[in-house]
Amino acid sequence: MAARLLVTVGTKKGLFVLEGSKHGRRFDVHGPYFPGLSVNATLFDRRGTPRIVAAASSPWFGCGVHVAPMQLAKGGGPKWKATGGVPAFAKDDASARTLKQIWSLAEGPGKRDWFCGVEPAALFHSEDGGKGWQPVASFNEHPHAKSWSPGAGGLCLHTILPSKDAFHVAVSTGGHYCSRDGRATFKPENKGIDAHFNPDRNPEYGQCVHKIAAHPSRPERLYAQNHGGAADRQDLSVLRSDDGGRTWTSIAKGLPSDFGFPIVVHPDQPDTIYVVPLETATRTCPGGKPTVWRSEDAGETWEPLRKGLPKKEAWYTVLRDAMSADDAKESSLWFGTTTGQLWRGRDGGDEWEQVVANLPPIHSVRAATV
Amino acid sequence: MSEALRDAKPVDVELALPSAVRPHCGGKASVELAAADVRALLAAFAAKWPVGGRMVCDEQGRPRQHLNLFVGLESIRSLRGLDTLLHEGDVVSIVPAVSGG
Repeated sequence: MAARLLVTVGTKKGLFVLEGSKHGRRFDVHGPYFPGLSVNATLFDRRGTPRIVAAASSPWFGCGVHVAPMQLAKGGGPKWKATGGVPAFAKDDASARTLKQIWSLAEGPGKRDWFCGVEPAALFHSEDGGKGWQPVASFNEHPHAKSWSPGAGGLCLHTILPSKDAFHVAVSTGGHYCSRDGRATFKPENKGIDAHFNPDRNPEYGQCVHKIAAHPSRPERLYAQNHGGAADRQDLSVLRSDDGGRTWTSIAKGLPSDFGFPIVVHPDQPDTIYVVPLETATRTCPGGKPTVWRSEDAGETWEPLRKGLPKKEAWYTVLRDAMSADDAKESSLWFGTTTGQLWRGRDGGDEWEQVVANLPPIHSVRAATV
Repeated sequence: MSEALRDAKPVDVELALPSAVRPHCGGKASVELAAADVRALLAAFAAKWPVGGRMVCDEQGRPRQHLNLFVGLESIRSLRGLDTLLHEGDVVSIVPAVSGG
């Protein structure tokens, strides 16, 4: 069978799963799964039997983690099964924290290992495929934790980037933290990341980092989309670190705005990255003209990608996990908007087509071949 | 804890469940449990139906923010909250708030 694509579209009102041929334009839309629940994070886990992992958060009934095989029955959608476990703070938690939402999922070192980032900002680890979740105390009980504060989306741990020598996480609003000792300790590493909303613009921690990304083949090079949109300068908050996150340098020059949410690295080209600049005041595309910006030289120069996208009157907002690249040979870029449109940019974003037009507000998008 | 609560004995009551919770409690619309007050009722429910219990209460054992609990027709907010004493045959209902959008 020709390679097919699976696209998970997590929305405010449930998860949709699209399936279609890699080169085609038509996709079967399955769902909504977990109707009424926010789906902020999904993960394609190919270790062992390839699985989709989805985290769903309900304001009424709490959160759940669910798995389904990536291989779908003909004409059918995924068959979900709850893992049985949910991250939870201790009953005697000193700050009486309770789990509000799950924001991020990442593979851990073992075959059945996952990490999970939640709101209020905390990190959990499962070593048994989600049956049990253990808090990462060195991060969750960090002395800084009490002074992290929520952004508009809540106090979320949205980025988890494990690599051989370092374990990165990012919190909005808390900043970038890294462990280099197997998660025994975490230290803030935010040198060069602006915090214009703070009296001290360069604090040790407390930055509103929106997303961090890295290519697995170059773990020492990190890219960050920071909050941006300072009144005095708009060239500070798309950043690169070449020393594993210890120091950061702006690569925002050439972009129409340094405010945005997602930042994505091309799966095969470590120096190719994508952002979606937004107007600071509205958090929408400048001039109502959606444009993805691509750099093929690690942020030294940028080019706009808008072929096929609306030329006017489209005030899209793309949230931090709502853009990603698939793993096909000629990778496509995908983004979803808070107004429910899902777009596909073929050939790394050269040419765009709308895949679905009227979903609920889109929080997360992931795509993979199957 | 008041004298009255300390002396209260468990009584048989019915706990009416919202539809989202039912699949995790054998598909039942309500379950029968014995408890002296609402707090003990929720603890007994969680002990018997851990997933259902987790859906109704957070890690601190508090009913989730967007769920309302009624004893008969009275919200526990206008009674004694989780310390509301129960009487034989009471029906305690868990009702999702009309919230969201």
